[in-house]
Amino acid sequence: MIDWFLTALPLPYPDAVVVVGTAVVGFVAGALGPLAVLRRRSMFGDAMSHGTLPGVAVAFIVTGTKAPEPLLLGAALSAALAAFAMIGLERVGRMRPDAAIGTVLSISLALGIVLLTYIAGSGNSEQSGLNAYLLGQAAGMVERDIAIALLLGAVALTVVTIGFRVLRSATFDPGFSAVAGVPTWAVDAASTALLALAVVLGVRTVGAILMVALLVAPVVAARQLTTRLSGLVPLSGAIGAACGAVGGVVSGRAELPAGPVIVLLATAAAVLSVLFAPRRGVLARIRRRSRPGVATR
Amino acid sequence: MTGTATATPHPAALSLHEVTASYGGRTVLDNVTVRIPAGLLSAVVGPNGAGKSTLVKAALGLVPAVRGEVRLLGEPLKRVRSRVAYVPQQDTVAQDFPITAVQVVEMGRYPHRGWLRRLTPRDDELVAAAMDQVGVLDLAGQPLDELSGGQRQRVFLARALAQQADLVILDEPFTAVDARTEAALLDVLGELCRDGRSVIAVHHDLRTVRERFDHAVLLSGDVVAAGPARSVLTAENLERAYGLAPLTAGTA
Amino acid sequence: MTTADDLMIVLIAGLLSTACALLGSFLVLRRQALLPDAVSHAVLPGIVLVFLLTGERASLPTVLGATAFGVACVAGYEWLRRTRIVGSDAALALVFPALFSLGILGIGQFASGAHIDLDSAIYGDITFAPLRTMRLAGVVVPTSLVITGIATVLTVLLVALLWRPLHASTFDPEFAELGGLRGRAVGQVLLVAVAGLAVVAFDSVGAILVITFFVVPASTARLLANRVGTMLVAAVAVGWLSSLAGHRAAVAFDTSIAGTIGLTSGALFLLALLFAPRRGLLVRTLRRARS
Repeated sequence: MIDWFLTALPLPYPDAVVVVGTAVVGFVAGALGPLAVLRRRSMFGDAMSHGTLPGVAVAFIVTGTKAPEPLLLGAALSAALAAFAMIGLERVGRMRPDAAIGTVLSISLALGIVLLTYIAGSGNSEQSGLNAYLLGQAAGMVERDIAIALLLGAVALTVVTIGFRVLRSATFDPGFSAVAGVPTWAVDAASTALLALAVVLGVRTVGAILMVALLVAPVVAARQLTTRLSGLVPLSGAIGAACGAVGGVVSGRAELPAGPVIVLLATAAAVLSVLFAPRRGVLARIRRRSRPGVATR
Repeated sequence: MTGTATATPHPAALSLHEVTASYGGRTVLDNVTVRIPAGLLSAVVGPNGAGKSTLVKAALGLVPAVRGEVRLLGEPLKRVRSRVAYVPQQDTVAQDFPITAVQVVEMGRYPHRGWLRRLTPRDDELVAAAMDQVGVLDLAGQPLDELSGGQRQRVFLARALAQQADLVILDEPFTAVDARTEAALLDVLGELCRDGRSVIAVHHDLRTVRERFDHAVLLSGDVVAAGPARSVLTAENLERAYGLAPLTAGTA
Repeated sequence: MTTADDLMIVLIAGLLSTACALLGSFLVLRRQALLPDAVSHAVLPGIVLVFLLTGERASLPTVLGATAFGVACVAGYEWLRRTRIVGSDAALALVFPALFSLGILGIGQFASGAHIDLDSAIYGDITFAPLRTMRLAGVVVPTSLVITGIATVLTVLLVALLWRPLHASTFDPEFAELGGLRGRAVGQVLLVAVAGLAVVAFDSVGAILVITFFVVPASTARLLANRVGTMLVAAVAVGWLSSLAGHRAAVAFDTSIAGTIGLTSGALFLLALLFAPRRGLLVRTLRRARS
């Protein structure tokens, strides 16, 4: 089915694969981004995406291949470990959130770089593509990548849809939902797992260093355009998908790392939206302030 | 004679003239004029959000966007910095900072010694005396984060004492403090006033204010009443400030 | 086997760790542990820009220019945060990856070549530091050593001169402001110093590992010390120990020196977390079990 869809697109086949693949990845990241942004945990997401690096490297050392499945599994496990470490340092180690995030981010990065450098020196002929996990790469995607992304994305979006009410109340009013019988730790665990999923999906396309921007920028852009969470999730997903698709093709054609291109596009979308959004944008606010009669209506 | 302030027997410890101050984008004090006499134990009271803390912060230049005129001990803040000691609310202090009790008290000498001059033996004496006066000399080497709320507050008062200030301003000093410590600290503050120094405390417990303070300013965005504590905390004034008479007013 | 080059590398790493640990300790205490991450992302486009203009990579104009650029970006971020259009954590995650992206693309497009490339931006090239030399008073010394040495001396001087305001304003900002210690101004000086040091560090350890040098030794020291003075000494000691052991490990396993130094300090952090005398998990668990 994917095959049929790809050939139906008015694009050369390799471009079609990249467009669809990066769009799916962008959509999933954008749609799950509110879990980080609205809960004020954006930098937590940053540390988790840095946390994927050691997992990718270890999985490669263990399996010796670049096949995406084991590497993604390794990335997921180590991202979850990073999240667990941060929560542990805050709760048990009594560290401030910023210090806990900074420490975990630093150590995962150091470990990832040590392992990647070690692999690069080991002379394994398969290793050349691993750098993609640092700064991202969209070229070289195959149909199997799309299938994985679609599958995991579908799982994540199903969870969000089913648990939408719980997530919404836990995001906006943690105290209330704890009282209402939803255990906070369960919501925390679920949203952390979902974020890990988004990070892991995006990490090969956008790279571990920049992945957080694909979680955050579409949400910031969409936040200016809608006030309802039920509107925010799909809109942010759509913006993420657009940035992913365009960035993926541009970077592939220009032979640039995909991460920076996609991130700059998404940031541009966020900046434009912050400035020019019809009601909440900076320009609209200034105009309203200079014409006070309009605002009161 | 250069001014009338020095001629009066009780120059103001703190005087605000048409002061407007906002905090977090909201105007909390609007055109407030008040005068708190020197040599007394004074309280600033009022309901939550009445601007008690903002009033002292505005007076101390800690809240920006202040319009109006502030005088401390008859002078602008710039000229009396080292003569004014401040005990902030506990939550503005870094709770887990690695510091010992005696190091906190030594900070009281910083305003006199500036950035670089070493503390003298005289400074060390003042620090020890201040810690002795509030009963924390034996805790000198203890890390601050291992002290109880009451012990911490004693340490912070010792810092103000070590500064040898003529005016001590405290923001909600008794919130995390046991009753025994509160009484002990009030005794020390009373002694300061008998020495001719002035003490102003933001406080919310009306009963303590009535029993232990000389002077009170009742705030509710504006000054509702100011004067001797007992004559300020009348049922009528409290009703105007709080909207309805608080239970403590009747029982005290 | 230890050669003069190895010694030089350890010396450069140790000096860099010293400066980073000193400033990093105050950042951790001020709850600004993520500032070095932001700053190191922001200075990258600055470094590329200055490189494009001057063709120099490790020179005084580069350090000053890139520092100014980094400070301007962080100041812009502070302004954006204060307007409250975007939450402060989201602003952090929005602005700095974008700046870093600009830097990466800039390197790829314009600056790639013998002097600056993607690998050195990410991994740093302290390995080659002993090879790039300059003449100082007739003696041939590595340029990195000179620049890192100057930066370290300046940092030590800064911390010594600003000790009281840093100490007091970090502990009790309102008291410091009232006592005429200028806490806010000191915060800005700290930001400029962190940016300058991030530029200097870029040359040795790349752009992304900078935060490791600032935060991990400081967090480790925080677990061990009860006074700021002791904490600074402990942080510097952790930095030197990591530099020494990390370099050894890198040579043994043939891998990134900056990475192994970061990893060693991570290991020391874990040890402190478990076994620190007062705050360690072991002691706290025992204390709880006894009471």
